[in-house]
Amino acid sequence: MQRFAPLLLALAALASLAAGPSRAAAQEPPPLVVLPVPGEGLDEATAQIALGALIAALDARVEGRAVAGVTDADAVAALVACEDDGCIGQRIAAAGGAAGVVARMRRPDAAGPLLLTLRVHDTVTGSPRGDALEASLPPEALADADAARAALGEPLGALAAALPPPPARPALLVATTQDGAEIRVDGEVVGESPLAPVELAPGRHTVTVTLDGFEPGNRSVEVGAEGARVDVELEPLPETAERMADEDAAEAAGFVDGGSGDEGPLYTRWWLWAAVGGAVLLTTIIAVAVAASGGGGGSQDGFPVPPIPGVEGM
Amino acid sequence: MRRVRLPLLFLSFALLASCGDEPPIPATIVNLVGDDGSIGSGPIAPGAVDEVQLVLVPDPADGRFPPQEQRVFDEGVESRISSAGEWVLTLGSAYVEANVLAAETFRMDVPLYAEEEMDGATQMPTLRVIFFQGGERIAESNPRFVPWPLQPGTSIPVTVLCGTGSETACSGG
Repeated sequence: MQRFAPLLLALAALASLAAGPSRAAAQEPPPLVVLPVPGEGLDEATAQIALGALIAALDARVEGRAVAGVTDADAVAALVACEDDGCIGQRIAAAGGAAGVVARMRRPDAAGPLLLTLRVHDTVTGSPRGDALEASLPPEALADADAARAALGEPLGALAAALPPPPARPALLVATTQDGAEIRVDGEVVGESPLAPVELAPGRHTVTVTLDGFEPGNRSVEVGAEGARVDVELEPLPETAERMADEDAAEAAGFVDGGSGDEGPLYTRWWLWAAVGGAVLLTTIIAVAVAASGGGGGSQDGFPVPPIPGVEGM
Repeated sequence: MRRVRLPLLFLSFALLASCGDEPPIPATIVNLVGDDGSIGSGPIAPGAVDEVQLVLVPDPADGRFPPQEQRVFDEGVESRISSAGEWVLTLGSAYVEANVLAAETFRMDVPLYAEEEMDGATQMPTLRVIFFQGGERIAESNPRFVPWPLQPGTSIPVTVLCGTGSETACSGG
């Protein structure tokens, strides 16, 4: 295995290139690791091109996490010696991976294609995800790294379903007492309430909620890896509070007191029945008009949305 | 009692008159509003958008929309279920052109209705809207909760923001 030491060093460099500078932050999610298992007839240069291409091609397909190669000679030796999935899972975990792609490589014919068997495994348990993928790199693709990466790009599509999903970024849920309020996070407008959770980088953030007629609400919130929720209660300005009180009073009066000075129970008031009759007449006219215009018959005007199955027993 | 009898008679007549064909179920209207530049990086002109996508994403706890064949409607409208289990409604240029409202910035109403009775036990899905010009994504809304099941006769306002670097495209230039 010692003869693969230069290869592994090159892999380390390739992996860091594939990861890019933005992925070097300490809080980035665990990477997808490529575990090379060199086999029959493989020379260093060929393996280097194939593995570099594999890492680059995977990096183009994996969202939200880096792709890294296992570069330690002892780790590769331990992987080669693995006889079961559990051992593979331990090697992936030791490399700090969220999952691993075991790449078994061989080239039985020195002038022929390089044959790859790729399989995605879970970390720790080593349970395989999906089927193994057979791929090959023709001799002409082994001549340069770009050609090799291009040759692997298409076959790797079959592995996509087995790759781990992109990691969820922490999300902040801003709950307000009023709909239609403008929500800003760190001064930037993110939408209006009610708003779905907003994905943010972990750390402290300032939430500002504003709505005409209400005092602005400001909160500072620490968003951890698992996200956070902040409740912002909007206090009405004096004139808004007065108007809301008037509306409440008017609504209450409409149901409790006839407001006309009539005596007796509500159902004896003439204006109530006039209103009911008027509403029914209006509804009837609209219904007849719609039916006459061809919009009736239960026809739908719009685009159908299928139901969400939900979780059984909810 | 006479004061009550007459309206009751009228009410009965009106109810009888309204029987017969079922009235249409009112749709839920999604009010798409292009930002006028006060929120995002630039205003979105009515003529700048030639394709609109509505993407409805179930809450993770509720799973995904079940797989469904792609459906094609009039005026270049189609709906499909994405591989991620999202319901994607694509409004093509013919539909957008015919339905965009005359205004300074982009405005359009998109009617939706529940295809069948929906389970009220699910969480609210989120909706996001994407504007395209010549196949390029130029503007997008933040995800917004959608009351679920869909409430017939209600409207859902969605503000779509021009993407950074797409100001020229958004202005129709």
